[in-house]
Order: sequence, then structure tokens, then C-alpha cells
Amino acid sequence: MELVFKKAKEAGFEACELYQVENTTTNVETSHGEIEQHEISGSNTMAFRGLYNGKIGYSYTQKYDEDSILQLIADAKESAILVENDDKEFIYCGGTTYAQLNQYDNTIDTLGSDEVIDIVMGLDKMVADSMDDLKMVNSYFEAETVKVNISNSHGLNLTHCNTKFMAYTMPIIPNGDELVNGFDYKINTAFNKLDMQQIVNCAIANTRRKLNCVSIPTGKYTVVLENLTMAQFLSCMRAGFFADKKQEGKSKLINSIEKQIASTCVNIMDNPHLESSPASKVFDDEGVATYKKHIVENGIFKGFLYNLKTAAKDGVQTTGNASKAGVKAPIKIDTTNLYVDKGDMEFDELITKADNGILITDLAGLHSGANDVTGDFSLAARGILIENGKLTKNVHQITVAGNFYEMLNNIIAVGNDLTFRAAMGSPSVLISQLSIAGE
Amino acid sequence: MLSTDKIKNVLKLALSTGGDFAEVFVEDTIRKTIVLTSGKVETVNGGQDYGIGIRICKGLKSMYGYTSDDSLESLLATTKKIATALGKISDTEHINLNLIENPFENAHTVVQVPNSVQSSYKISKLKEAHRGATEYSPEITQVDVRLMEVDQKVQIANSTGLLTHDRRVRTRVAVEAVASKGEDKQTGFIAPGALAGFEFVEGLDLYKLGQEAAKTAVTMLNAQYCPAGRMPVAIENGFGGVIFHEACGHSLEATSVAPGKSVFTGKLGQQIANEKVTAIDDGTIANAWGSINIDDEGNRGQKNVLIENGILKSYMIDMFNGRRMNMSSTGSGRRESYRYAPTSRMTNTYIANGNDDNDEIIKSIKYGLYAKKMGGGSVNAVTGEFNFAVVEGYIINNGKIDYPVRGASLIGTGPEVLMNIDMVGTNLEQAQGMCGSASGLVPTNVGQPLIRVSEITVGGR
Repeated sequence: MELVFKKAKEAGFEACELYQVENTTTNVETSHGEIEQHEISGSNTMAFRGLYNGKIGYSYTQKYDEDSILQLIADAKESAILVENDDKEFIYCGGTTYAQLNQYDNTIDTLGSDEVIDIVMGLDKMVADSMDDLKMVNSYFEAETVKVNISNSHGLNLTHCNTKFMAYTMPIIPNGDELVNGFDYKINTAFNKLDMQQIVNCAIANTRRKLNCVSIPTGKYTVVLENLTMAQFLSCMRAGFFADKKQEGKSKLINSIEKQIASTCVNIMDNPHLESSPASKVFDDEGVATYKKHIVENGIFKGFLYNLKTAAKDGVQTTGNASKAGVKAPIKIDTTNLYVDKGDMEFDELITKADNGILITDLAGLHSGANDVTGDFSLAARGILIENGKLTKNVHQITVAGNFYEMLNNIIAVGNDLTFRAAMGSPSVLISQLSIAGE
Repeated sequence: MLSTDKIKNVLKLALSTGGDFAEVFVEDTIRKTIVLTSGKVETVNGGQDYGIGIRICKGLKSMYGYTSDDSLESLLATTKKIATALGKISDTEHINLNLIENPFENAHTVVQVPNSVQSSYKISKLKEAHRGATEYSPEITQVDVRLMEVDQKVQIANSTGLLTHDRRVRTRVAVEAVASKGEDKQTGFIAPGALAGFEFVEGLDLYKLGQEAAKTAVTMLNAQYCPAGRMPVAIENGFGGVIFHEACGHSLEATSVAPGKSVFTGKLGQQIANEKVTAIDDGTIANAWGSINIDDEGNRGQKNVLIENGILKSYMIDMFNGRRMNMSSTGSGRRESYRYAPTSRMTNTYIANGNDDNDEIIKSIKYGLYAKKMGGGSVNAVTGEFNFAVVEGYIINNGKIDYPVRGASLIGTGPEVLMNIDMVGTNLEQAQGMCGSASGLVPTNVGQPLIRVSEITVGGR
């Protein structure tokens, strides 16, 4: 590390940073009641960022010999020289205090191959024991350790270490002549907080919902978005909250600070300090302390999320949302744990209140059918019909279309069933109207 | 790259616990991405990925491990961990490995490898695309141009005696244009690429490329929302081929077929598509984005006819899934990097030219959708349900393309849509994409001529 800083200084860098990620992973996947794939791996990546004549240069390597280090610095220097953007760039000087977050579960040290195989075979067995019509089941379990270190030539030296456990199961059952599948997975930093029976129950329920589906006529429907489907919407539209997108003219919220952008019952949070989530962080990817914040409070947009560069450009403070999409990527902006905060309505009340409409339970095609610049979406979906305030028939082969920002304003009620999956969460929400294409 | 002795040591240890197959995959990749925002270089980012993936198979079990440390100690430690998950280590003296370098003729000549061209020159070319987009219309408010270059060297050896290596140079340019009117914004995107060096960019008209991305954005800015419902749809060539990729391609990969999770399992020789449909996966097309000399298991790339006149002829098979199917590899074992075990994947997959006149296809539709440009999509291989986005669409009225519509998507199930492709035109063209699946993101081409789907559900409002 000292060698890198010394060589970088000799090369003419004014300041520089090393961002290192070390990870070890063990995972197992089953097929046909046996272990099909088992992986045990480790890797180490070093990313360099340096200020040269006020411009930022990037490079990374997975080789650690001296030649590779010299190449790393030479590449970053060439990269900085080529940059034409005049925005002021930063290597963080530090000086703040950081929250404490314990996200390392040393159970991981006791999980060898045998134990991991037992866990995943256990998932298979729990599914098989609860489903008479089971045709096939795939389960997956992963245990990972991630260590992030950011150190820079200003003397900053930060380390965060976390464990991550993930369990997944997918039952496949017959539906007439065809097959249907459902799944569930959960991720947690603590092994004993993964409730395997709950994952199995949710996966089975998700599969059963795909039996005996009907089509429904095309039209406008009152819609309840089930918790995780609302979370998916929020997650895929989140770039609208980022300052870099605003500065590039790619956010619809450009003139909306302190204005109503959603119903008053809507609160949207970014919380970097959830102990259970591997996406949590006490320092962001520039080394700045993170904090919990409202993005939308009672329907009012509280402001954009910033890193150091975009904050300087707007003359505000960073919000500690600097983020790299992976160790090799440049600094951008992202949320940590993004969620709609829970309201007070029971799920059943949302259905009763909807009266006639549809509960949307599954969405597909979010990476292509949703536009995070415009907010427009048109997505494949599944659901359950709501008739006279009751859930009746399973529905398939429909699309749901609308605009995310219009939808935020059309939220009539927010449920109390806040659920997280990975770094996103939401309760179920009742929406006055969305377009459904079916028959 | 590793010495033959080092590889032999690893393979021997790998087979010491009862495995019947072992493989070493070495990767040394240089990547570089240049991003222009508003015509100025925003970031230049790149670096070196280096690592070794080790795989051991025993019957229908597969063990995988990787490391970025190529010392013999680290390689043996990684190997030992995965080998001992299969059983106890026994004596390996009897294992006789004879690795013979297996040369092949490079079918994809690269003229200008990425580091042979000055970055400043590359940037000057990218600026032409920015100029093309901004000069298209005053409604264009933001343009991003990026150049992505990958120079991947691989070495593959396995316990059957295979020892081979390859170098894959890939180059891609992407232009995204945003058009704005008041609060309304629409985007246009285009991203051609090839298994080639910078000569590929030299062969492009970058100004025109910028104009094309801008045209979609401006057209969609002035479009109304697409109406929803079931209707006939004409899907244009090029990226339109994503419909076959999603509706059928993934379900023909051995990854889904072998365990019986695909709707097309056990259907070889049966009619699964309209007789107008012939579909091909061809990894041998010279310098095409999805092409390969050898796949990531060291097998030669092939041209595989998947469907011929509606009859299912072949799946896409990797060595591991081939075991369950009792079938041999079709040169389809691919992976994003050493961090992934390979599995069956597509290369350049397309619907072949038919014999319907393109104008007749449009004329045949009384009321429907003309999907000129497609976005991405996804599929559930178990149920065959797919979806994909239409990024530039038009309503057809009385056989004529009438007005542009935005926000459309198409959904259906693979088996149904394959039977409903009832007209196939003559203007086959391919387009580039990154396909994500179990072994990560790999470059693939999709393609087709203009086709008609007699009826499909269109999402809109």
C-alpha cells in the first residue's frame, strides 16, 4: 500500500486512493435431489483512483507483483490525462466519525463443505416433505465473507467486514400438461436470522399461485402492489433520486425539491445502517460517513443523493451516497437499503378497500420494460383477481403499464407488511389505477 | 498463462478424490471503457482481470473453485478444497496425463488490438457520434457515448489431454441520446459491436450512429402511449431477434433442457414452431460479436441448426449437461470469466431469411403494431413465459405504418409465439447484446428478418 502511494506520488499524482475488496465464497446448488454444483473460491481486487492535475484517473488489477502495480499507476495516469470534464474532483480527507455496525457472523468459520451441503439438502427435503405433487426442486445456499478497505494518501484507512448468507429454493410442480415454478430467497448477514422454514413456505406459496390461472380483459384496474413488487419498482426507478442524473438532465425530479411528488402517506427511506443487510455500510465508497435519511417524507421530495463531486457542483454537502457498481467501476451514486416505510393498514384491509381490481404478485422484465429517466413502465406480470374485496382467481399473461411518478401520486394507502429482499423493501400499497393488458 | 507442469500438478490433485474429469481455465483480460458525457471525456476506466478457475466433475456433480493467485501453493490449495468435497485424497501416481497443445486456425482476424491505437484518436472518433446525435435535433438534450474494449487471453486444459489457448478481442460503441420537451423525456440507444479490434470502429459511420440514436429519442418524444391488447405484430430485423432469443433460445440451452426444466425437453424431431421458422445458432460467423474460435471448455465453435422448417433439430449443449443428456458438446460452453463455471449459452442466434415480401408483411396487417426497435427481455424457461420491451413502435392501420407509439411491451409463451410466426421476410440482420444467465454475462448476437406474429399480447395503456 505504502509502495503504491509512493510510486503514485513519483508519477505526479496529487492524491490517490486504494479500494480493495477481498472475498471468499462457498456455495452449493442441488438438482434432482443431489448436489449438482459446489463452489469454493476467493479473490482479491485492487482499484486505484488518483488526482492528477485536478482530474481523476482510474484503474484496477487482480495481479499484485511490482510490474502490475506500476502498470496500475501508469493506466490511471493516462486515464486522468484524457479526462475533459472540468468538475472538481476529490480524494476524501476524512475527519468525520463513523457509526458502529457489527455485520460479521463468525458462524461462517464453522461452515465447511459438509455443513453447507447439509443446509441445502435440508431445504430440498423441507420442500419435498410439504408438497405431494412436487416434480422437482432446486435449492441454493451461499456463504460469503467480504472485506472492503479504503485507504488514501491523506491518511484515511477504513475497513468494513461483513458476512452474507443466502438461501434460495425453487419448487417445480405440474399444472395440467405443463410445469410451473415459484421461488423465494432471503439474504442476511447473520446465519441464524435466515429462517429456512419461512423461505420454504414462501416458495411453496409463490408456486401454488401459478396454478389454474385465468386471463382477464384489457382495461384500467385498481391495483394492490404486493410488498416485494412495489420494492422492485422503487429499486428500478431509483436513479431519479441521484444528483448525477439530475445534473445530466436525466431526472424528472429536477424542479421538485421540497415539492409534493407522492401521496402524503408515502415515505421513502435510505438506511445504510440495517444490521441484517449486506448492502449496509458505515462509510460510502469515497470513505464518507453514511447516515439514514428520508428521500420522500409525507409525499415531499427532500432532495437528491450526493457524492463529493456532485455535491461540490451544487454547493451542498455530500449525503454519503458515493457508490461503485462493483470494485472495478468508477464512483457514482447509489442508495444503500432503499425502502418505502410501513403504513398502518393491514394487508387484508388493502384488499377490502380495493374492492374490485387486481393484486400484482410478480413482475418480469424490469431491466428492459421500465425507463428510469421517464418513469414509464410496461411490464409482464402475474397476480390474483380481487372481487368484492376478496382475493379470488390466479391471473397470468398480463402486463401492467403506467408511469412511476404518476403512480406515486396515485397511492391511496400503504400497508404495514414492510418486507425486505436484498437491498430493497416495501409494504404492499393500494393504487387507484393502472393499465392492464390481458385478453 | 500457466506452465504445462503446473497444470498437470493441479489436474492430478483434482482427480485424486474420484473425479472423472478435471479442467483448468486461465484468464488474463485487459478491459478499457471510455465514457463521453455531453461530448467531453467523463471517465476512462480499465484494468486487468486475472485468475484461474478449476473444475472437477464426478458423474452428475460439478465442483468449482477459483483464485487470482497463480502460485502453485494457492492453486493446489483451491483444488484441494473442492476435491476433498468429493472424497478422500488417494494416490495419484497411476494418473497418466499427456497434455498436447491443440492448435486451430484463427477464424476471426484482429487488425488493430486495443492498445495499438492512441486513446486520443479513439476519443476523436467518439466525438463524431456525439456530434451526429446533437445535430439531429434541438430536442436532444443529453448524449452519452462509450467505447468498450476487451482483450481476453484464455488457456484451457483438461484431463482428457486437451491443452489450448485463444485470444478474444471485442470492441463495442454505445450511444444513448435523451430528447426533452418540458418535463417529458425519451431516450434512444444503439450499440454495435464485434469480435474485432478498433478497425471495427473505423468501419462505422459514427455520425450516422449518433443520428440514429437521436432519431429514436425524438420520434418517441412525439409519440403517444401504445394501446394495450391482443393484436398482430410485425417485428423488424436486427435486435427484433431478441424475441427468438427469449421466447425460445434460452429454453433450448442444455442448462434448462438436461434437468427437464425446459418446455422443449424431449421434443427433438417434433414440430415446435411454424413451418416458416428456421433458427440457427452460429458461433463461426467471422468477427461477429457472439462468435468464438473455441468455447470456454476448449471445444470448437459450431454452426448449429436449432429449428428447421418448424422441426426441433438440436439443443445447445455444454460438456457437463451433455452427460445427463448422453449427448456431446455443440461448442456452447461459455462463461463471463474465470469466476464462473461454464454452461450452455448462445453465440449468434437468429431466425433465417424466409420468402415473404417485407412490404406484404406490413400490408397484411389491418390493425396492429410495427415494432421497429426492441429493447431487452427475459424468460422463465420452466413455463416459457417471456417479455420484452418495444423501444420504437408504430401503429399499423389498414396495411400502412401510421403513427409512433411509446411504452409498449410484448408478452407471451415460447411455444405459442413460435407457432404464431406466420410470415418471415428477407432482410436478415443481426444486432449485439449482452446475455445474462447462470455463467454470467456473455456477448451474443440476436437476429432475424422482418417477421409477423399473427397475435400476441401488447402491453400499453
